[in-house]
Amino acid sequence: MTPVVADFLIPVGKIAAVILYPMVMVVVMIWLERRVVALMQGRLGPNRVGFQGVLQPVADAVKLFFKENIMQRQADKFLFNISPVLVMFSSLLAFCFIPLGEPIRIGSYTLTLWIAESPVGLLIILGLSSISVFGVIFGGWASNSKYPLMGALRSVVQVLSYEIPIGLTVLTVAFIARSMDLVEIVRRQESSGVWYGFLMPVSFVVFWISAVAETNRAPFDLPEAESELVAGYHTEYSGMKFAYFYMAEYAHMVLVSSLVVILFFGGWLPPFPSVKALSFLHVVPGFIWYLVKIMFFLYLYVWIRATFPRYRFDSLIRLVWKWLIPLSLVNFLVVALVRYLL
Amino acid sequence: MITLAVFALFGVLALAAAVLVIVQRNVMHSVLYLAFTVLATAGVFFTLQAEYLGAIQILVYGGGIVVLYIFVIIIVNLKEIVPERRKLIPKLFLVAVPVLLGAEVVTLVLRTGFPVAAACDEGTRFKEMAEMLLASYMAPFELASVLLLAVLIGAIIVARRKHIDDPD
Repeated sequence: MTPVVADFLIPVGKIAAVILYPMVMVVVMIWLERRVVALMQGRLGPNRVGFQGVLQPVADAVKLFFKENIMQRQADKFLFNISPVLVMFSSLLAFCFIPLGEPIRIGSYTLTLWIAESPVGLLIILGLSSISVFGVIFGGWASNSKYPLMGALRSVVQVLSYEIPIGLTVLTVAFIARSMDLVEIVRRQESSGVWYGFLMPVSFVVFWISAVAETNRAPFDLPEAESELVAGYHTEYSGMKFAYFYMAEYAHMVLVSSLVVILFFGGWLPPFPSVKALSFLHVVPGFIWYLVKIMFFLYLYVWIRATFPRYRFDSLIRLVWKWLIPLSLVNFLVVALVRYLL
Repeated sequence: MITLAVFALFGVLALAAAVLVIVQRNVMHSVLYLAFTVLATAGVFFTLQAEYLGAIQILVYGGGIVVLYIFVIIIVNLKEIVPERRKLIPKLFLVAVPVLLGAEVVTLVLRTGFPVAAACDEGTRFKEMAEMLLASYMAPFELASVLLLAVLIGAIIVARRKHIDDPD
C-alpha cells in the first residue's frame, strides 16, 4: 500500500468515521426510541416521513437548522455558545478509544477499527465522560434562568455520584483482564472463553444502572424532568445549539452501550468464542456482532424508559450512596479476593 | 517532528489558557479557561507518552477539582469582582511576589539537568508505580490520605457547627 494512503488517507477516513458513526447511530436511535415508546404506549409514533418514519430525525434536523437561535439578553454569551460544543466534544472524543471490530488484514497492511489504543484507554474514557459535566453546568449557569440552573446542579450531583460505582465496577474488569486497554480486554475475553458479564454479573448490573443514570436517561432523567423543570439545563436553548445537546445525549448513550458491550459482553466476539461447535459464528464479521450487541443495549435504554416511572431526587441519591456504592465496594473486594486466590 | 509540533501546540494552549484564567474578570470564564489549561496539560502528558498521568489529570483535575470550583462559585454566587483600591505597599507585594516566584522557577529550571528517561512499556511503568505507592512509599502515601480524610471530616464539622449555632 502506498504511504500516502496508509499515512494520510486512512487516518483521515478513520477520523471521519468516528464522527459519522455516532451521528448515524444517533439518528437511528432517535427514530427507534420514538417508534418503540409509541408502540409500548399503544400509539403509532412518527410514521409519515419515509418508510415507517425513518426519515423523521432528518426532517427534525432540517427544521432545527432553520429555527431561530434565541438567546435571552441576560445570558452569558460566551459560555452559552461554548457549552453545546463542550458536551459534543467530550462525547465524540471518547469514540476514538472504542474498538469497533477485529483488525482487518488487507495484503500487508493491517487496518485497525479504532483510532487510538492506549494502555489506559478505560481511564481516559471515564475522564472524558466526566468532562461532559462542564457543558451541562456552564450551559445551565450561562442561561441565567432558574430551571436550567436547577437542572444543571441536579445533573452534576447525579453524574458525580454515579461515577463512583462506575469506576469501581470498571476496576473489577481491569482486575480480571489485568489491563485497562479496551482492545486487550476483548482479547482476554476471547482467550478465557467467557464474557465478563457472565463471570461478574454484579459488576455488570451495577455498571448498567449507573450508566443509565450517568447519561441522565429515564428513570433517572431528573436533570431534564419535563414535568418539573421544563427541559432542565437546556431549557433556554433553541435551534442547532439545542440539537447539539440532544445529539450529545444520544451519542453518550451509544458510547455507554459500546462500553458495556466491550467490558462485559465480549466486544466484537461472537457468542461462546471458544466453543468449537459454534465456530461457524466467526463467519459473521466482528463489526456486525458488535453492532447487534450495542443495538440490544440501546433498545434496553428505550425499554427501561417506557417501563419505569421517574425516581424522586432524594431516592435517586439514596440509591447510589446507600446501595450501589456499598454493593460495588463489596463486589470489588470479592473480585479482588478471588483474583488473588486463583 | 509531528509529536514535537503537537507538544508545542498543547504547551502554548496551556500557557495561553493559564494567562486567560488570570486576566478574566468573570469568575465563571476563569474556571472554563482553567478547565482548558487542565486539558491542554493532559495533552502535553500524552505527547510525552505519560498516558497514565494524562488520564489521571483529566479524571482528577478536570472531572473533580474544576467541577468543585464551579460548584463553589455557583453556591457563593460571586458577581463581577470590584477592583479594590489598594495602598502602595500591598501593590508592591502584588508585583514582587509573582516576580520572585517566577524568577525562582526559572532558575530552578535552568539549573536542573533533565536526564532523558529510558523509554519503557507503559505496563511496566504501572507496575513500578504501584510498587512505589504500595510498598516503598507506603507510609507517606497512607499518611497523605489520612490527612485528606481529616480535612474532610474537619470541613463537615465546621459546616455542621455553624448549622447548630445558627439554625436559620
